[in-house]
Amino acid sequence: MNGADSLLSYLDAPIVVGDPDGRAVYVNPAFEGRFPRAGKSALGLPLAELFDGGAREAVLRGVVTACESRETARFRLRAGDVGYSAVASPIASAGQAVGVVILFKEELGDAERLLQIQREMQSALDELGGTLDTLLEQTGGRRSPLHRALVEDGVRGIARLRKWSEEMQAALAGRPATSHADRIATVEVLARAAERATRLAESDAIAVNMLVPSTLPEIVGDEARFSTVLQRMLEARIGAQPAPERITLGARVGGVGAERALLISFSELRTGGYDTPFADAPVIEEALGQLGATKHGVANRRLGRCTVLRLPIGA
Amino acid sequence: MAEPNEQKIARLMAEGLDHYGLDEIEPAVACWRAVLELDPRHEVARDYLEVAGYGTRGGEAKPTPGGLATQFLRAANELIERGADAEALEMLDGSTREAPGHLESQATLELLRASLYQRHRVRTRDGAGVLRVKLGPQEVLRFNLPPNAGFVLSMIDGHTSADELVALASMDPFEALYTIGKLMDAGIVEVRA
Repeated sequence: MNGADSLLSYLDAPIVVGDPDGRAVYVNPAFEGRFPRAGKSALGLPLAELFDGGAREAVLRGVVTACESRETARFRLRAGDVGYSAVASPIASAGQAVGVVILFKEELGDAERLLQIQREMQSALDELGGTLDTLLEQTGGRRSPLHRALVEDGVRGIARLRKWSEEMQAALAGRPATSHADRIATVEVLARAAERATRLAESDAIAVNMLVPSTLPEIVGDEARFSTVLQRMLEARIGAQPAPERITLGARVGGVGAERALLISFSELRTGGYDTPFADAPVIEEALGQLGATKHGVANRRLGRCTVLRLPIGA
Repeated sequence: MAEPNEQKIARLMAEGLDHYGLDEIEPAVACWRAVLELDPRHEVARDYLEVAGYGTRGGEAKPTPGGLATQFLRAANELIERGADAEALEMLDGSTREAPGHLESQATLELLRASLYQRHRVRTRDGAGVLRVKLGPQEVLRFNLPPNAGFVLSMIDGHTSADELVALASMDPFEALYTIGKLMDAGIVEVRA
């Protein structure tokens, strides 16, 4: 096996060669590394002793099939946590079977396969994100606000896909959920709520302004609950009597250090203002409490009224 | 030519609020005290100093931010009642920086921001108006503009609308439009006909 030794030793796939008596006459370094019972001491041992349990049965059956049929036999086995597909090929000389060579190819498990797919998707997402950033920079702005808005929507969509792709990677790798899992993408949720409110308020001739910067820190919490609360609060104000002329959904960061918080506001502008702050339904108050938000409303007889929510920004 | 007292007082009052808005309390107090030296009966300056917890002469201890927030809110509400929304905004901007957890002040500040934002949108034809600089560079330099205003001004090219500028400035949209409004107030910028 000297010539074969020098070649087979460089292969990454584990290989074992058996003699006509079914004893191991050669194992390459990859085999020694992957199969704990193998090693130099494996030479001369029956092939059956190199494997455990179901793997032993599979190997023996494969070797017998290959030798009897004098054709390649394919079979699968599992050693430790790793699955392998194996190919047993008879070695013939002058029409006689003189041995068998078995090559093992590691199989990707479902999770590993999905991880590989996720990596491919992530790479495509990175490329797409880069393309949209360039597009935004080069053509999306100065002359065409609509174009810019569309591209910005695309950039936000890519950011969401990236976030969930990373989440999938963590789940497949068996890692605990990343910090993204319970974090709320505030700008996106606010934008969706404002868009929905604009459509809803159209029939009541109430205008909606959105006074939100393009970036805001994420906050910790349940995004679906946060989104629902915002929408319900906007809907309630659209349906209020007397009706506001304009509703402004605002957001900004207030405070520094431990006092740093996200401030979200619902301003109802109306000529003649209001006497009392807006009273939200108890279910909203409860949901706000679950989100860790504190709330305060003010009314002004000239300008209108405003409800502000303060949500702590988690570390 | 000496600056007339009335003009000087108006300038000092505005400078005081600007300082206060930038969290520069001591210079703000100095401006309002200077107003009282020119007009000892100036009620608004007295009010500002009182709510800031500073007397008209000096030497007092600085009061705590939390205790001040309610007093500033009261003063801001009086300003709103008189229609001086921009002054009320400057006042609350400063006081909420000192006491960010004072939600009544934050809610009033938000209401002012929403109201002033809308007013400036109307002035800029719902944001669609194209802005242009009215003055030459040498004249603009005389205004000693703060960095934000200088940045916004540098983007005004006679082709870009207010909405586009707000989007491109990468600033808080209120700050961007409010700065444009201030530049219009100062006669530096106008909406192109």
